[in-house]
Amino acid sequence: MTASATRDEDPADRRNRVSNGGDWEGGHGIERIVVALDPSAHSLAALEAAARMASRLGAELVGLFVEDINVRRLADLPFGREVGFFSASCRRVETQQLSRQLRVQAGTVRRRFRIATRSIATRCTFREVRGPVPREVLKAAAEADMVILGKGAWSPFETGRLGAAVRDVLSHVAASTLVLIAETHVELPMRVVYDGTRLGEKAVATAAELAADVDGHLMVFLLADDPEEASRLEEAVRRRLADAELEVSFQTLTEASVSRLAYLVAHEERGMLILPAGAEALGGKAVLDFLDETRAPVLLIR
Amino acid sequence: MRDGPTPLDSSKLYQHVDPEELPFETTEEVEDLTDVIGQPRAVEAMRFGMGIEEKGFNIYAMGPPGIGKQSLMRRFFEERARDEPAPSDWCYVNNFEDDHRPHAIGLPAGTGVAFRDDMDELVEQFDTALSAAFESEEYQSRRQSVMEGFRDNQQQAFEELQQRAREENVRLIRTPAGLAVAPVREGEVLSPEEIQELSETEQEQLQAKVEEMQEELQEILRQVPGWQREMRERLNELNREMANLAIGGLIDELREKYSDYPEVVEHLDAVQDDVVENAESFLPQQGGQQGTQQQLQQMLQGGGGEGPQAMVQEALMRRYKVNVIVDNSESEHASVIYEDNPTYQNLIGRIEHMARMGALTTDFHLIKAGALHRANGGYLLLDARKVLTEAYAYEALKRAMDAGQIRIESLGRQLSLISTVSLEPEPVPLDVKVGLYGNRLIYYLLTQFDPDFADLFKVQADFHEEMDRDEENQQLYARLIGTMVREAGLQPFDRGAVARLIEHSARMVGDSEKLTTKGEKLGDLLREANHWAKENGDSVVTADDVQRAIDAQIYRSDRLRERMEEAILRDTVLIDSEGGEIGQINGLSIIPLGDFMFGRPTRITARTRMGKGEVVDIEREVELGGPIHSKGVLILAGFLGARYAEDKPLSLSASLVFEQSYSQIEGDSASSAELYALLSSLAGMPIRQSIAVTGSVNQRGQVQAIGGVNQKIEGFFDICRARGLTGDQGVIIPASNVKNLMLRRDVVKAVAEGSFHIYPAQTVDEGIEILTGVPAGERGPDGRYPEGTINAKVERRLAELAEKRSEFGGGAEEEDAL
Repeated sequence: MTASATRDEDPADRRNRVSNGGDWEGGHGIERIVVALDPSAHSLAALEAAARMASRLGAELVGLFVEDINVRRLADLPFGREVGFFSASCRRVETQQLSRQLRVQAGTVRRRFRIATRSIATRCTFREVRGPVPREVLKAAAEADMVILGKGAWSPFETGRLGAAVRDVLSHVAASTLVLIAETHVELPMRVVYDGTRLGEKAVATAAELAADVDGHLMVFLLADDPEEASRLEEAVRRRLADAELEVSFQTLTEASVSRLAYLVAHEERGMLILPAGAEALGGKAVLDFLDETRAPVLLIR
Repeated sequence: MRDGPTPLDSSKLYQHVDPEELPFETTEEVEDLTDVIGQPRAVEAMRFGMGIEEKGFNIYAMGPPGIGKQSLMRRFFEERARDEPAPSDWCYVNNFEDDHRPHAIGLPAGTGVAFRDDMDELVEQFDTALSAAFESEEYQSRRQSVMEGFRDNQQQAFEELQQRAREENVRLIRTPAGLAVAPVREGEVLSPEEIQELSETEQEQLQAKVEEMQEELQEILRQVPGWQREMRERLNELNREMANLAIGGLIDELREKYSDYPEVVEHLDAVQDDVVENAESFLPQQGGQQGTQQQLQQMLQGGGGEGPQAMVQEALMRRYKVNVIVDNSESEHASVIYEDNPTYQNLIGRIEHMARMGALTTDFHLIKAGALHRANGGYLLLDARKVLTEAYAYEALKRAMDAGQIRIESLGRQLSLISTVSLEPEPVPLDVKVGLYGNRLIYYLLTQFDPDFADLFKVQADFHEEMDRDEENQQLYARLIGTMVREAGLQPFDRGAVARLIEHSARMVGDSEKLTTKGEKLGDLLREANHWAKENGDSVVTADDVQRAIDAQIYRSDRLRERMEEAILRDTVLIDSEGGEIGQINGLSIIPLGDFMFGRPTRITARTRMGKGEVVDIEREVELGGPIHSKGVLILAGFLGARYAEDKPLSLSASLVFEQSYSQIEGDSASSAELYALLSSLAGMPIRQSIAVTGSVNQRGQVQAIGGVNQKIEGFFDICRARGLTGDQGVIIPASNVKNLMLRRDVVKAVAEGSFHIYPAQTVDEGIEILTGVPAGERGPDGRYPEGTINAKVERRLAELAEKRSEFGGGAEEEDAL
């Protein structure tokens, strides 16, 4: 199923139609993105995705480096010792040395941010704060429309599972959140879940915006209990994307569940999933568990 | 006075060729000459050298320049090569065990290029085949499975530890350099104050707990490298299996095709192993597979352009390709290679470098063949002088010939001039017949001073500068001229021109009974005569054109001769051509100027007085006389002593000088003139200045042959003619030089008219009689010379000197010194 569109037109015009056309309210509404950074490979993927999203969505980008207060405290403990990653040797954590290492870490992250955002036209700022990681990220997220996180950031082991801090943020954040694992990218095809809600509309608008960037393919999972509902939802999406030059396909999830979604996503080697975070069937802990399992980048629309 | 030598008849002065005796009108009618003439020794040597296959029987063709050494040798080589099969192609391929030592592979002619093309095609297919294999669901699934297995191990261990940590109210915290275990309360690490608030026992328990967790953490981290290694090994094993499946079939096809060539099969095995080893490098890294780190690198580098992956792939592909350094696919027979610039690198090949990222790099594709490679299996022709004057070329040539292999070594590296990484290609077996050509001096010097030379060049083809001039050879020479005319694309020469050329050929070697074998000189003359004929608008070259070419050649070269003649005619250089003088004579000398030489008279004077029997050569005293000249002068003392002072001391002191001579004098051709001047001085008899003299003399007074007789005669003739021929003028030459006479036409004409004379002298007595008009005299039965003769006067004068010396008390000691 393909939504028809006129070829050879200015992509900017096409984007405008996608954002403002139809009878839906507004578009993605993302004007400020916060990317939470640490030195991990997960954060690198997050940074790359953030640069791309900011550029694509025309949003301001804030790079946030949180110096974990717990690491600082470790140096003050009488028996504070660390085990080397590669040497596996145990050594005393010295305050002075730790300060220096944290400074170097912040410098590295700042440099990566500067390089990654070099070609972005919108405003990009880098902030360094000290405190408990979840609290500082949530504080910054309160002022943003989207938060981007590396899945295993601040985690002791980069296992591809959600780190405790990330899980904490995801549980409390109010803004849309993109979570990526190391070596994954914001790329086609876009897959979006539409449930007929306002968040669902926002999810579709965001997905269309990202997919339209490269004349890509958009897969819409319709959360519907029956075929009629599915048909209605499909019609709504079609109307919304009538002028978009996108190849749109639909799949109905009559028994919507995280496991079913995980199964479908797992069979695609590439691509990104956009979920309305309020979707009934996908809410709460189930989404977190889904995020824990999947290796695909997932954008939770809030 | 006995009968002295009579002047030569003009017929003795020039041996004409009668054009009527030549059996053609023009050279168009002459049959081509296919045989080599005048070089039987060289031809025989070449035949021998070509026929013998054993090591070291290479050929050195020696002789003067322009004699046809190179062309004859090339002809022999080409004739032989035509019957021999085309030699092998030679390729260099990568040595996968040691990149710096590429392998050399020899293949039948034409197979090298086919092998190269096959390998190019194979390499092109690698990409597709490997991509298909590695992008297949089977591979991806198995790979994922291996990696998941590793992750599971890790994840399980870490999660268990984290779970235990949570239960124990401690937490794993990531520090910049590792992991730490810390007690927590409500998600935050306890502060020192909070710990201080705990009882001592609680603190100890807490510390023990933390330490226990640390130990467990250490244990897990120690296992991680092992898991990673295991995963890598399993992935490598999987990659090898897939790569083998992907390319095995492709390589098997080539293995089958080249099954007759074990080296190729061996190389294909190595290629397969290497491709399997590096299989992942062939795979395109796109989008999702490309690491973030690499993307950032690309962003740092500006985004576009050839990425590191493409460069790695290109470098990998290059390793499997073939560098054909010798391609004989077009050859139908063995090669004959002439290297006219035999530098070290042009002979043995070179390894080029290219600049990459600011550094000079090289690989086996940059190995270039040298002349030895191209001539391998055939024949190589080299100019000995050029080889010797190129740095290290001769040594390299010898080394290759001696070892029977061509080992390419960078000269710069050998001399430690550059330290860039270079290659040591596997040597190529060498089977070549080398022909060196050069002059005799080089051959003899090499034979004497280089012990290797004689072992490597066992065959000498000695080219003679001249050949006999008999009727048969004249006819062959005419055919040679005809052939040369045709080969050079010149207008036909009529028989008069050919006759004149043959005569000039004899003149070139300075012998009426010989002909020159210097084809180059003859060829030049042919082309010049042809030029003059064309300028005249003639379609056939005539004797006049040949004569004009000869005259023009002389005119272009004889500026110095003219200047010297002018100096004599203006009395700047004193040469009398009439009257008589005691102790003064006109000697004749030759001045060589490259290809051109001319004769000129030189005044030689002798002064005698009482002395110890020494003849002082003033030229030698001032180091202007060469050793042969000095020898000639010393012979004079021997002659005087033996003839006139056998039983008494030779109480003479004589000095001889070449007047107005300011340069080196060498040769003994003036020794007879010097003796005549001495005899004149001793006898007090004047010498006719209208007669010039040339010839060497021995201790018995015999006049011996000299060189350049024609030029010497002409040199004096030109002076006399300019001053006016009187009929009294002439030249005394050794009788043995009469056969060398091929004089200019004007000289011959003057002699025929009686206005100039050439006297052949066999002895000094004959010469002195011509010069003084007084009989030399022969010793009578009484042992004395007849009164009034030159010899009687000389003997008397020497006796007087001996007597006077005795009066002065000349000691025996001094006599012994004689």
